[in-house]
Amino acid sequence: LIISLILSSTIACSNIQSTSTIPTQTHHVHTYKKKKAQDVNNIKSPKVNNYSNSVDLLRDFKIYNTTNISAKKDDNNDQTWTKETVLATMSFVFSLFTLFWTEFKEKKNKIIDYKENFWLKQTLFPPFIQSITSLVKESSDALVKLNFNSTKFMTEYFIPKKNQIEDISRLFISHSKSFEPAVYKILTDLDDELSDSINNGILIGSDVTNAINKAYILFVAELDRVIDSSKTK
Amino acid sequence: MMMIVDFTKEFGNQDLYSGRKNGERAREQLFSKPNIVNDGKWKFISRAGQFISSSYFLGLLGDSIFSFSTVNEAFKYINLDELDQASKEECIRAIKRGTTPNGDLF
Repeated sequence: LIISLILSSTIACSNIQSTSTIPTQTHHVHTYKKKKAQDVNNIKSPKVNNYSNSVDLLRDFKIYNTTNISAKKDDNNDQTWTKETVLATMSFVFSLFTLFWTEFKEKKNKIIDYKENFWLKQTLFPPFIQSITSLVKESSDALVKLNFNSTKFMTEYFIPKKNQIEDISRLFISHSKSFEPAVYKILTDLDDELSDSINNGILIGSDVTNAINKAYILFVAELDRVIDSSKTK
Repeated sequence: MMMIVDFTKEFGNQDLYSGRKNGERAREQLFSKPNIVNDGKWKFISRAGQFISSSYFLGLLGDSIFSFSTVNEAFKYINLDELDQASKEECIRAIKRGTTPNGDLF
């Protein structure tokens, strides 16, 4: 932006300098005009007459008129667009465009930053991460506490926890439409895996831990996708 | 014909019914019986202490759960009056899942 502004101003200045020579030329023309006017007055005056005959007078008039016409032609040429003017104008327009584009991009980045940092990272992520982390941390203890009883573990611990994670994931709808169904699929698969692990009403601790840890990794991957999708918007 | 699923008599009268796959297996078992023609109407019966999870209901009801546009419309076809309260709530959760736009993904 700075380079283009300097370029445009430099070209514009050089153009002004080139056009500023014109008044000097016209000054000469005016001086010549005044001198010739005096000559004409001299011609009219019966007392002082530098022209010996009418042929010389006619020659000088021709020279004066030709010079005057060529000066007018130069004036007309000054008003047309030179290469420098076109380049300067283009650089100026480009500079303005760059300025507005930068402003627009900055505003857009601020909105993205607000959405990502405030809504996602400070508002939506913490309760969700807290829920899935507590599932990992507490599940083993809960199973021991409930004597490895599958019915008690599922009804008193896992299903309420599963429903809680599912409900929190619905809050992400404003940022990602695919997040909530993806979370629900992970939870359903986890439910299936735990249900299949039940043997004579008993759940084994390692089976529960493995299944929940696997689901946790998938949850984290989905959270990453939410961040990626918010950046591409 | 209305499909009556009595959990106190069928599928081993267990305390817990969970998992979508288990629900799908139960559905296959139900429809494998002779002379079964379901008109889309369901009735569920369970005793106190029995728990049927939402994912199990999803598997049991199959694609029919996605045919309802609203929860109220679903209640015209699915009778939950004789279900235990906890299981009733799970069934409602399953129906809500089926009526949401993303429900057909599963």
